[in-house]
Amino acid sequence: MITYMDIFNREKNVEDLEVYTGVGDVNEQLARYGVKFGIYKNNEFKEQLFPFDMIPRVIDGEEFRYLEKGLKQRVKALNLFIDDIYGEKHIIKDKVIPEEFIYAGSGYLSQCEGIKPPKGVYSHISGIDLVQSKDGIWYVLEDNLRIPSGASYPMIARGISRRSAPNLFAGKHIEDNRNYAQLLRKTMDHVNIGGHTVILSPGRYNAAYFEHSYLAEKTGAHLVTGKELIVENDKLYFIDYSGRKERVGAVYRRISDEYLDPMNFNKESVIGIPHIFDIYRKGNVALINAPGNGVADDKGIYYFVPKMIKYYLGEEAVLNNAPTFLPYYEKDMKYVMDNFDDLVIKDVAEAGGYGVVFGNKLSSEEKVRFKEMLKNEPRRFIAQNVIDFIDIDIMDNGKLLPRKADLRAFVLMAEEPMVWKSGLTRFSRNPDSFIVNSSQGGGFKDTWVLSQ
Amino acid sequence: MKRLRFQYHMKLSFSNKVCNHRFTLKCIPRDTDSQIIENYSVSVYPDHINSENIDSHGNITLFGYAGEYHQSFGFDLEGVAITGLSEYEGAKELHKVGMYRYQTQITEPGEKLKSFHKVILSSEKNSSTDSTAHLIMQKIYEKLTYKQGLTVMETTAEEVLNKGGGVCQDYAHVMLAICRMEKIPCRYVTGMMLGEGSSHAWVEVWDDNKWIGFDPTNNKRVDDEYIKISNGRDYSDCLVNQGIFIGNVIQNQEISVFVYEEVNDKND
Repeated sequence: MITYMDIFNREKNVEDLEVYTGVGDVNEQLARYGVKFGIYKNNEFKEQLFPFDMIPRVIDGEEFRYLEKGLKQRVKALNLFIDDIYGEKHIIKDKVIPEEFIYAGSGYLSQCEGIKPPKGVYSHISGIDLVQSKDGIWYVLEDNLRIPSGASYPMIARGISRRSAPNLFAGKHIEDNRNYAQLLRKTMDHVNIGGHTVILSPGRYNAAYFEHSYLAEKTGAHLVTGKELIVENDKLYFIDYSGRKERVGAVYRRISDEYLDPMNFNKESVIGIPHIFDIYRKGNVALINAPGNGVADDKGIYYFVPKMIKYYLGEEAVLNNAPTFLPYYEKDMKYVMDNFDDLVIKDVAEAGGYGVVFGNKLSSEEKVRFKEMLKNEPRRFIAQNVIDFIDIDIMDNGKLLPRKADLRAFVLMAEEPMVWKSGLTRFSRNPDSFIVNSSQGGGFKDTWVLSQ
Repeated sequence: MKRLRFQYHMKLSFSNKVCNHRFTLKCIPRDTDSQIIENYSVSVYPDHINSENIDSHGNITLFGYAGEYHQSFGFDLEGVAITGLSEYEGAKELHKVGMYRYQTQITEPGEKLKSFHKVILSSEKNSSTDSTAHLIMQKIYEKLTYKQGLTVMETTAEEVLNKGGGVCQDYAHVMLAICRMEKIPCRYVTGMMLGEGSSHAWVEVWDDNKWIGFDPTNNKRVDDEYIKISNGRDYSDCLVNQGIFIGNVIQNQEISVFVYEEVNDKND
């Protein structure tokens, strides 16, 4: 396992390293560029800076090739699974996955039955969350297929860091990560059925608005809101500033399924585009990512991903899942009851670090109540062994402090899956916490993939 | 077998003018194993741009846009259906009808439905899906009182039991809820029935390779007096008219459906 210590100056004290001189400066610049994310707390919208720590996560070439292989395999299988669920449903017939995990979950959308998206791609941009345990083994913690965000942060941080501390990067054989925009463009062009490519944002009060505008700028796609798009004559048009209508062939939508089209999903949605889903059904526009693909990233479905890989590809999974138990199965229920204190329990309907309970953190009274809930709604939860994943140092007021960090890897699907040679490393600012989600107050790091 | 002529008029009147009206209509009956639509014509007003599609349940969908200001919106549909061609509609295998086996927000049972379910199914043990569904239909018919104005469109199956009655849509939702508690796939159907009045709703129950129609409002099996328009998991998949527009108005909807048998066809 390689760390930043290996590629920075070994002899000298870490404080000497140029890396630390840049921290304040880079964060200042990130703030000036508006690198923020918004959160809603107590019904109030607040924008927060996403604190950047200059000490990178370092992954060497060989290790990354292993991750790459596993990530491609995983995303391929997930795509085949979604195609199967909205089509022939072999995996249900063959009883590899119990059907209630599909239909009673929140990700399945009956509106998507029978639809084949352009080029058969369902998950164009996937964010796969991984952690590395202290013995060096990587585990996938979560697949994010709906609208995974975060790629823009290491992109812009890399650019600013290179400018603030150019020497830091010299001679270190780091893969350039500023090609994310090209990969994304290729992914969008691959499915574009003819016409403009747009990035559809709910607007500036969205948590990831910075990212929407940044990706639009870098890919050359138009940044639009629902009001600038209109369905007419079975086609989608972008209305430009002069009122002229121009055909749109691909929409990278950063709006969740339920708000996408008030005529087909949530009727109350005012940010969506009426009838866009109807023309998508007819093959007249590509939607990136495909609606309904959340059926594959449900926490309940996560358990079955290694089985999916075996089922669709006939291969063993390259990447490990964290050891997971499904209380739905009697044997697992017993295990969960007996080993409650060693487990982390997750509500399958929640995301963003919410609905996560550590068995040993509950009072005995809470435990009794929680176990009762588990027995009543076994399908609602998964339980996992707590993985003691590695810390990466962060620099806090001139001091080095170890903090838990995960990695969101990005896999983009064009003709073939492509893994971005970087990723978003998120760390927890709280020394006792294993939860690294940005909505829970964490920060981020760049991820350096070495070419050797 | 019957040859039925049908007319379906729907008119929305607005208290003020509206514009930018987007609509989706699921009003056109389609061919199934038990019915053939010999011919139909539909006109939608005001003038607008119109598209046709088939939704994920196989229903014919008309969708479009009326951009200009208008004070009424509606359609006139008429045509001829040959009904009763088969007692059942062919169905896909069990693993492909899973979406009809799970409760929706509308059918999700609460305490009332759970205890009603217990009462119904402890009285007799039925071996076949067909007879179980029949029993469920009968018990619902006995339990509920047909009464207009008691419920609204969004009333859930559980609330229907609380109120003790409702209209055909409510009977159908209660039947769906109970069948799904029995793990029987079943779907909501919107259609028309011989006679004059409004549209009708009933239930189809999956039994091996067939969908069997049950009408809990009338306590009878669906026969050649019924013309099916659409089906789905509950009423929300089968809305005859759905729309959004700009305008702060009070709406008034008129629906009139007329189905009669054509006996003296001059070509015979």
